[in-house]
Amino acid sequence: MDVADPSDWLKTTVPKLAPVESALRCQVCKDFFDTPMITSCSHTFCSLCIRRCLTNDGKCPVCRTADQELRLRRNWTVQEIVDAFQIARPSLSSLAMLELNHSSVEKPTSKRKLDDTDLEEDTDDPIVTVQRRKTRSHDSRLSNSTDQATAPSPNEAVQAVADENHNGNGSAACPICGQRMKEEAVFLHLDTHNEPDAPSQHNLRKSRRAPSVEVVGTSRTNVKPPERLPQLNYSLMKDVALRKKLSELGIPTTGPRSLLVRRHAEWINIVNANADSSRPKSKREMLRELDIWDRSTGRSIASSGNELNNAGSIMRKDFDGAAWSANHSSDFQDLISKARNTGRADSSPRKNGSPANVIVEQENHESTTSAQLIDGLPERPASSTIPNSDDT
Amino acid sequence: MASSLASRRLFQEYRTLTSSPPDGITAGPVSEDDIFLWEALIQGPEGTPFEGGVFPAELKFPKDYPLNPPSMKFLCDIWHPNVYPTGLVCISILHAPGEDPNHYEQASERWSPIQSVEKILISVMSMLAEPNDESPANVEAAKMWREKRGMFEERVRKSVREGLGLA
Repeated sequence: MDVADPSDWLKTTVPKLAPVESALRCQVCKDFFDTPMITSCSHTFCSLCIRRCLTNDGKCPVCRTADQELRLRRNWTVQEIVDAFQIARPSLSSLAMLELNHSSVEKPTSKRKLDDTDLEEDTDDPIVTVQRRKTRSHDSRLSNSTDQATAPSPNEAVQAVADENHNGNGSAACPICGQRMKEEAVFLHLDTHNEPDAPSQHNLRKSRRAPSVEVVGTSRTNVKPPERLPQLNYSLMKDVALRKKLSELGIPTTGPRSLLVRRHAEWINIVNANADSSRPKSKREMLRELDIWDRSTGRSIASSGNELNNAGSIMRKDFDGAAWSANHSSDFQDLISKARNTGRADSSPRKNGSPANVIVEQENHESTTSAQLIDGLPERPASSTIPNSDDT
Repeated sequence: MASSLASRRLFQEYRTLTSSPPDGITAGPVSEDDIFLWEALIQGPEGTPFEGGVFPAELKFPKDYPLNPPSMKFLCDIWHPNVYPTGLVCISILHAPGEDPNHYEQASERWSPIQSVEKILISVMSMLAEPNDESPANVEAAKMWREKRGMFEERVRKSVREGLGLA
């Protein structure tokens, strides 16, 4: 797969476009902004990116100011700039490459095409003019082509067609109607647009020729805004309630508690980022995104269950109690003797933070949960939390 | 494509690194099957005892990259105050803001999702040039660097020569 990158411009006649493109990309995912949101410290990120960051540590990734998701605001202007740039990119880049090919190595096929165009007719089409001026100064050509390429979009906020692969298969989109074709064919094709189009005709044409292109304005006003989900205070929720919540939301309920919590948080981020978007996705698509998350990040959370930061796997049906107690037997012995020394009634060892005690704390936490489920007992002292007492 | 944010971003970084690599640094995934394991080559900075050496290192990325930083480990012997004898690199950009193994780092110099492989490798390169002996990962190397600089430099030069197969 080929991915468009700001560094592409470095090899063209307009390397100065590299920082322009970098500025139109989110610093977290390094991709073009998708539903840009501005933080209260005035930094802009994709909605899903900044929500994930805030879920992770509650800080702006750029300046580390504390922020909250509720304070994020949409940044439509950036969205429109990015959309317009993405539409302009293929033709901009083929122009910049064409120039390079022409001035260094002669590329027979494309050159002949160009000459043909030159010989034909005398149209006033600005693009053809631009093209004929090839050998003249860069700047005028650049500004012309940019104008031409972005001309249709300002009033319409057109949705960008995914055009990442224009380099890979050598095809490029027409900057006016979005139709895809060989790079060399674009200029000839542009002649068909040379009558001055009224903006409404643009719209008609768009919907007819490229069904995937839609006008943002309509979806923004006509469709009712998608629902947002509130955050949950997970520490107040028992496993059963949490699983119930997940099944109500229609998302998978499998896995240890820590995974359930993270999955729910991820789902909230996906749903709320989607609610910010000017072109919301269906629930099916969002579930697919969650599934991707589950199979990468989620799986690594589940598989790190044996580590100290994740005691949730102890609750799983397939938890290997024998291996666990063998691995940690020295810790347990140590803890038991410590607990005997300090006395049964005293639960203070939980307060000191040595690694061994962390295990106790988590063991304790797990067994507490199940204990409460069974008979509502309060926490038991550390010495009684030998593994295998629950579940296996 | 069904790929996670982490793998898309890593791919993008790889793309940037190949088309405009910083001086003295190359990096990329070890194999196409696993984009979460990279190998990097860092040249020893000029004007330091590490000059002339090429140091291979391994970067392991977490599945929730870039929320959390990768870990970096040199695959060769390297005598440096901020590299554990196992090769693991101890540098603030590789530590998430929440963790601070040595209790001295400013939050501002730690990992953040806007950092990148390129910035990590550049930081490591400048770490080679200017060790930080406030929180040594290799106490012996730090002591030698602080008290017997000549000996430190000689030892590093020797290992660089050995690494190149010249000694």
